[in-house]
Amino acid sequence: MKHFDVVVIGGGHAGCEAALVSARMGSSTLLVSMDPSKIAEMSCNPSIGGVGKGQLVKEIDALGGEMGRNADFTGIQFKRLNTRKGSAVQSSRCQADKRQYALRMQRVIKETPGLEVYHGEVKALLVEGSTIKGIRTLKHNGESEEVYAKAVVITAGTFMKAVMHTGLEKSEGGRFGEAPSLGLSDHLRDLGFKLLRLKTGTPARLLSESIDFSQMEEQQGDQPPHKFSFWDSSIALPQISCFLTFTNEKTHQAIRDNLHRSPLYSGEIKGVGPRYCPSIEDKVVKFPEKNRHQLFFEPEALDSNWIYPNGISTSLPADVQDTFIRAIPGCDQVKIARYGYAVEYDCIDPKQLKATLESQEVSGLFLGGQVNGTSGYEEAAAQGLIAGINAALLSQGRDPFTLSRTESYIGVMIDDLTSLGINEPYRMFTSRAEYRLSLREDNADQRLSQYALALGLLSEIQKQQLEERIQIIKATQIFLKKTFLKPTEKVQALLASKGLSPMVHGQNLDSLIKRPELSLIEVLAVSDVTAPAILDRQTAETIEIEVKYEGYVAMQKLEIERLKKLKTMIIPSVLKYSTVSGLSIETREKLEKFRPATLADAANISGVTPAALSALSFHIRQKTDLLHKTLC
Amino acid sequence: MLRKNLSLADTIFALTTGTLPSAVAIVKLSGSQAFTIADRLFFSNGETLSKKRAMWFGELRASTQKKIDDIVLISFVAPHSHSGDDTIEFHCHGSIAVVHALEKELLLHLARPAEKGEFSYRAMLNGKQTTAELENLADVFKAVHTADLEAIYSRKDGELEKKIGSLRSKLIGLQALLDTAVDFSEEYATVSEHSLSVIDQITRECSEVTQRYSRFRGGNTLPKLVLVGRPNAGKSSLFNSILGRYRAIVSEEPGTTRDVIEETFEILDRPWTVVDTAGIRPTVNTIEKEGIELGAAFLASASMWILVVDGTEGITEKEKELLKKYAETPHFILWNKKDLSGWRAVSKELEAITVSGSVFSNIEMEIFWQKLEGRSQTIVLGQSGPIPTAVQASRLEGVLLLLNEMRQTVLLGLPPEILSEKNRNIMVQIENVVGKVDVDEVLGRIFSDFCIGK
Repeated sequence: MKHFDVVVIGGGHAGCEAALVSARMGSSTLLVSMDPSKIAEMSCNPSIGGVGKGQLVKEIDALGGEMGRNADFTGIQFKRLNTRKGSAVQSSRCQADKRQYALRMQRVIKETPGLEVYHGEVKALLVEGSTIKGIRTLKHNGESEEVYAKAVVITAGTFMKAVMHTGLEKSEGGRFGEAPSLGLSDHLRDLGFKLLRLKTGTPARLLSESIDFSQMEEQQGDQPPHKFSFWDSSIALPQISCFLTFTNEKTHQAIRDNLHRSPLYSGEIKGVGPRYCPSIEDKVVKFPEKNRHQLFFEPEALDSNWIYPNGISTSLPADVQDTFIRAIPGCDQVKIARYGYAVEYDCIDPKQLKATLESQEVSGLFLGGQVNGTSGYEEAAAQGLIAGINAALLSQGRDPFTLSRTESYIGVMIDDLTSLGINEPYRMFTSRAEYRLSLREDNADQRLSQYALALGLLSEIQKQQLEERIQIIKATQIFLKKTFLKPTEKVQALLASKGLSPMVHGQNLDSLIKRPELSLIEVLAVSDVTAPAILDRQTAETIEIEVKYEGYVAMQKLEIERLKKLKTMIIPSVLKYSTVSGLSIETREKLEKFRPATLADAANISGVTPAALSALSFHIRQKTDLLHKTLC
Repeated sequence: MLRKNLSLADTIFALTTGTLPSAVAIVKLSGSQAFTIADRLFFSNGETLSKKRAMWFGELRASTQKKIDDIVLISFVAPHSHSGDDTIEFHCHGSIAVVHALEKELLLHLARPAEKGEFSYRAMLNGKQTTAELENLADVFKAVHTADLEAIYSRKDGELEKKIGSLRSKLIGLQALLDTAVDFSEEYATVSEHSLSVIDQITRECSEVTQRYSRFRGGNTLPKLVLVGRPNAGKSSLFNSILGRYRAIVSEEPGTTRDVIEETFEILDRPWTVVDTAGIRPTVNTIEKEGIELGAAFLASASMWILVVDGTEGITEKEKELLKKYAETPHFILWNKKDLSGWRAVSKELEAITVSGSVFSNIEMEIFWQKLEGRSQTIVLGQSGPIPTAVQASRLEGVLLLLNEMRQTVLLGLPPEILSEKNRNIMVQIENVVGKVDVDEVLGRIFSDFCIGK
């Protein structure tokens, strides 16, 4: 009979973070995997980060997670996206060596004290009353076993009742060559979970020696590359290029001719797929006016000849894949290593979760990652981290930990999932974050690392590094506000070189940096007073952004304050919305359905107007007044 | 303005009809004590005032038992009254003495005079009226033109909401575009040109709505009908017969110019300013020239114009020029003085836009009125639309300022996330008028309008 504080089911990107953080917080942890050699496998594209996702990776890193460091050590091309736009929405992305990525993560897991890996499949959850007690497993040798735990985290990915489709052929499995997990979702349904069915897909993999890259545009990474982690990681592997090419009318025609053989269009697949990462057949049908679509050919690993063609995810039959891929420039002789396929799988309705990712029905049971209806490694890892932290906290009898949407992308995601639910796989976008000018990659540590510190997830060195950085930022900000620049020759020359009119009176450094044309470094260079400390690149960047966005960030802070105030206005749970005057029937129905706890929650429901909010707040205040009067 | 902390427990009263003396005066008494108080003052043939909804006839007596008046009394039982409280209406004769005596008695019985709007305020608290209905009601009192009533009541049908909804939908479209530029970085780079055209369009539509509001509140932006013609062509006679046919609206605002006669009329329930250049008294030598040119000066701002031609003299070159120059503005010709000898029929090329007749012939003028009313309606309907409430109008003014600010931001070439921030702010302001924009709606738009690779 085994006892653990925390059991994590599934070794994908969510499971890795959950298991690692739980063990690092001092809870004895068991990671259950159907195939430990597949732990941290990149099932789809070999990359980490991207717009909106890079922010998640930085937040995971700031909170003491592993994903950012792992990507740094195993990345083979780093690129910042959105560099032509403002700093707030720039995001990091890297292509990783998919083998090294998984191997390094497996090594970290193996070396983490208090963390054990278990080879087997979970057949049942042991629940007493409405509290989790452990799991029943089927070991790889066929034995059945019970493992007891104070908290269980399910990170089953796309494996629950998974069905793979290539053309009209179906096979059971959550990933190529791997069996599905069959019992778990039925078991969850029995426990009262509402299940949804989703779909995702992956493109064919191509053999690099069969591709003529000279017909494509070579894309190099950034020089020098920007790493993800705030801490002591390094970019260790050689850097490589990927290749840009486009589909064409011939490709599209081949797809159109065979739509009837696509499980998506023949009705074979019932699960809802993501809008933002549509299969190529989806793109061709939905955007008939576009005569080409952009594709990136990305090497999967340094020592692999497999190419991941980013942009042609498909579930069309093999012969159609052959035809349409061969129509792509540079691919006329292409050899396909593995055909693309779609996966349909069960996930739970995330509205049944608390902000800690603990189930509302079964205490001690946490869920994270794709099983909650999200898409993407980064989204999964972030949830795994939060679920793992809370599972560990619960097992230690400590208070739960949650993040709000005003301070983090992770908070935005979990709030969206748990309060609004999903109707397609959920992917992060910067536009989901109302306060994206304040929720940036560069300040993720300033926003979140104090929590990691409090949770005991930072080392003494990391703590010092964090404090030092925050101190430098503050000191420099004061310096920039206090230091006046006289209209010296150097200053006027700089202004003239930027096409700006000369300075008449002195001006503080701060106000000069606010001008879109000037950077912190340029302004400091013409100042006679020396800045207080040596700034590293990252810190200089943070300071510059803070100055440039000051006005907007201040406005967002006001908005955040307003929201906090609304949060304190509690809507009585017994309130009959039919007695509130001034609400439209539609609004009333929505409020009845969602039963928001506070005015802030009510404001978040789509279709609840400010007028309805004021009617509601008026009603509540009036009722409270009456209550007071009756009591006094 | 209502005072704060008005006690809802008070029984309140007010004279609800106009200035005394009048035929009838109605005093309304409302609140928990309404029936008790009324019962002491009202005596109906032996019957006591019971708590029911009814109409009574009887005598109004002071506490001294002296008769004040014979009255009709209507009783309403809560919640079935306008304010939702128990309510008594005293229908007395509209005498100053009677009403004062009644008010004195009500005060003696500890009722208190109502504040302005207090009955409606209570109606709202009691759930009888929504704030939106109150806003409408306030505007009904302000309305002068019959057509405005329609516009006010149409608010209930959500006409403005529809309008705002369409603006909002354009903003969501723009937001989708800007967020596409941010979230799907390298694929869609230039957004500024499109942003400008959307901003300009929304600005135009917003100002149309706010202008309707200022027109409603007495601003001088009524559609204008301008009468042009040489002196003695019959403009003044036409103006006078317009005066005879349509109801003139007395406006407190003085005319904007002293050179012309301006009057506001209701043509088919819609207010119009009719401008007659007859007031011009040019020097003898320049009669012809100035008469036409001064009239022409008003044509630029005309919504419709009528050229009055003396049919015994025919059309001049100058007038033909006007027809060409202001061809775009709806217009037609009155080929006047058909009753006089020497009248010549209109030339073929002008026939289509001409009514021949005489201002003094009712039968012929009937065709003229039909034409005028027909044209006027197409013009007014084109301009008509929902009138915002004061709050809505001021919010829209705020939106206009923000739109202008955003326009500057685009011109300065700032990046899309800053534009997006401004646009979001504008959406919040628009939301203050209608529903909330949610992110999924924006994203939904992105994916219906664009194609995105992962």
